[in-house]
Amino acid sequence: MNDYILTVLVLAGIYAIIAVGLNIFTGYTGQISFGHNAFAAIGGYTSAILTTDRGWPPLAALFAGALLAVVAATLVGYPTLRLRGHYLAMATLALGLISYVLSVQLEGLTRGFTGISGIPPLGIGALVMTTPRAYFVLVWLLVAAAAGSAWLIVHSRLGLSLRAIRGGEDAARALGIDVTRYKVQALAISAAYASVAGSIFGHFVSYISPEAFGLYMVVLLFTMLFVGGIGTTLGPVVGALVIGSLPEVLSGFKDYRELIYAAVLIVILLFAPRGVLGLVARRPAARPGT
Amino acid sequence: MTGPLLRVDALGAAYGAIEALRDVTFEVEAGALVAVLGPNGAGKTTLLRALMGLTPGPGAIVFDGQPITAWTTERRASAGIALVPEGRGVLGPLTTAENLALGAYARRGRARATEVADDLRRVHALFPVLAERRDQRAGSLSGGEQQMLAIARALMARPRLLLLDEPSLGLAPRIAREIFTVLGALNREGLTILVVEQKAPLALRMARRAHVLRTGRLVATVDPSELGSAADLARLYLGTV
Repeated sequence: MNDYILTVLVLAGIYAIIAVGLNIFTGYTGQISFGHNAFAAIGGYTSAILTTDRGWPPLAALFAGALLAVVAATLVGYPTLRLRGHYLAMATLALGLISYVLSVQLEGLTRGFTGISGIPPLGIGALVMTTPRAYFVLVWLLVAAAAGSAWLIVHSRLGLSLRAIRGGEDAARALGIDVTRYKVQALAISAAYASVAGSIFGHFVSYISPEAFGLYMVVLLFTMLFVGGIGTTLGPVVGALVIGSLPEVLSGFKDYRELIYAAVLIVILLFAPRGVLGLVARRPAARPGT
Repeated sequence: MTGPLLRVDALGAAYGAIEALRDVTFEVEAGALVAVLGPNGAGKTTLLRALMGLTPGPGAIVFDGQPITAWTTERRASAGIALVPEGRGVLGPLTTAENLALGAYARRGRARATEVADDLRRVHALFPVLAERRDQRAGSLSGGEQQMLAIARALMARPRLLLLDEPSLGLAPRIAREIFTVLGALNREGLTILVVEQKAPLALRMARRAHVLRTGRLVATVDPSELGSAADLARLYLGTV
């Protein structure tokens, strides 16, 4: 594989990590967040600022970013997660917009539209990742770790409560589940995934700007979730691969690329509303003997 | 502990400007099976939601001697009130086993794993079909099986008061009778039950006492043994008493 393809796959993998986290909150807990770009931005900017201006090692900055994202999600979560449906969608959308405005306006920290360049590559001590191949291996190991940890969470006692909340908040409350607390926890966990991915993005590209974490990121994430299969373990990963590589696959079509891209999406949503994985998943009716 | 297990005093509830319950006062003694009967839209579901803390309103609720009016739904659940919601309320995408595990949720911390396993055996003995359907999604069960699962899930909490919202709704008469037979047996074992129903005969056969709810108010209290005929009941529903 040449470096170009590896780069496309690294970026798809970074998106896959965010999508896996978002899937915990949206797919399994049934809550909408149109503001997940904010958490990726927190990771990206924390890593960029700490590793360039302050000379932190990348790994320490990455953890600091994730911690900050978890704290931000918890602070934002308590007031907003009392909201339901459209109201929650609007509140989280506002969160994404606010993070964008802050990344533009806090010039002292973020350097505004200019962005932060010269972000060092990831590495521990003398071990520094310089090639797309190294990032490809690392990112896809992390994708596997993300999907695996998400599976463990979803099948834990916490995950059972989250899935109960998706089934119905009143029903979950009547079972003794503290719905608000668990929704905040789900948001905080998914924020950590987004933040880690945001940090890696900064190190890989070595440059970040407000545009990198704009609303388009949210559009892409939800497209990935729906295309891959929302509420499934590997759906977000498959979705990120398909959506991440589709523009490249279609690059030969030049002017018609966007058109074909949109058409593919519409066809998938029409004929595979449960996503690509939904097509191949076993359905109860198809089981022999029942 | 003397006095009733549940005392409801001048309970009200409203959805915005629409008043759904007004000045509802009644008691449920420990070990009793009390029915609240009423036509569609009388406020039966709202009454159970208010008792569970899901719909706010004025009035006082005392459970086991403690005023619980200000308690959250979660706290009422852990205090031992379990609701079997209308339309069965099972969590469709989850398996039968997962639904039952969630039933034991409210008493985790107090409950040991062995106790939960014992309870699971008990509800499987009560409803053997749930053991067969263990790994099946609750949404794919039949209506009767879903109702059984909803009741079994509530029992997993080892409730002291079981609230049931129209358990016979949408079920074939034979299945509905089966469900009520189980409820009668549970009650004889000592479980306190408050059931709201639109179809009265089944509930009346089991109940110690029945209240009639009409347009949000309790309008009559009947002793099932004194209720002579279906015509008497029709009069209660229609408001000619």
